Amino acid sequence: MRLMFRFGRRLAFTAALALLTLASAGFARASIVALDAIANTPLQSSPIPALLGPINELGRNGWQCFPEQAAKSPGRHEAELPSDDGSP
Amino acid sequence: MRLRAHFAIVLAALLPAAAAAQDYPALAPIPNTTDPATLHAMAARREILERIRIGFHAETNGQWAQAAAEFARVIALDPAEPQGSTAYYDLGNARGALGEYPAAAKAYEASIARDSGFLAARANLVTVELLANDLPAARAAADAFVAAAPDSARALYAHGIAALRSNDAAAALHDFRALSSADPSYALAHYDIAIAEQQLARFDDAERELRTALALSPAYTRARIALGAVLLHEGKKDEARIAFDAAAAGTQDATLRNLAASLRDAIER
Repeated sequence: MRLMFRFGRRLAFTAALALLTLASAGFARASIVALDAIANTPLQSSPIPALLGPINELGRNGWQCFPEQAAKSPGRHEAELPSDDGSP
Repeated sequence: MRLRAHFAIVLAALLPAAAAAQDYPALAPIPNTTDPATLHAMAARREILERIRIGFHAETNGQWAQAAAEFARVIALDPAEPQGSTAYYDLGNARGALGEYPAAAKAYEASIARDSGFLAARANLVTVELLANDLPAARAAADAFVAAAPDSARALYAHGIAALRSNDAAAALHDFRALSSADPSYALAHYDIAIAEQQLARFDDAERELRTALALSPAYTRARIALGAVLLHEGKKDEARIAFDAAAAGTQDATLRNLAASLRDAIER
């Protein structure tokens, strides 16, 4: 009876160890897969520029038509391009 | 008593200024005809100008549905230029702000059909096509924008973004290098060059550009996360973990912070 009990305990311990080993291998594999996924994920571009603002009844050639000036400008600030301030 | 007198003097002095600041519409010319067709045309022109003013103020205040209704009515009156292209442009803005991107694109196209030199309409057309994720249409619109305004920073940027999202890394590199040459301090241009280099599997170049972007803008969290991903691809796990950790610590944006922290933790497991 005692022998059977000892054998049962040993079997349970071995089974638990085997399960733990398998689980660890699974976790390690999952971790490698996750890292590969991170490393191979295509990175996202910077944001789409916002719409330029409204234009009044004088039209794009009107006095100080800021949206048209922004669309034409070679400077990024005047062009109202996205900024990196505060992480876009 | 003396205080009241002073207050009255100040108020009296300010009254003319307040009156001058009010935005009265221009006086309509007195019609010197009784011809019904001419009178009708004058009334229509008056209505067009008034509705554009009302729609413009509505857009300025974010009242997009009201603005869209005003500009739709203006267009139904078949205005001459420049009011025609302007009404279509403003209608495009209202539709775009309402998330109705195909309708917005149609409005901008109508605006450009009436005035092919209308660069703001070309710029916004690219934006709504990108927002709609219609990449072929966005690229076609961006090509036309760059052709119309080769020196425009917005044209280069929009063209580059459309190219990057279409996986045309070579075209994107051309655009963002041009932007970066014109303004070497623009961190976003370096970031987008890095994305293009990553698409071309040139990870060392991508790393260099991301480090340049971060030197220009240390709080640029998205660039720091991208640097971590590139370093991980290069097998530099420790440096990648440091980059993700710095990204998590350096941002107030909860989404980016959680993303950076989970990436860092994925390496540590």
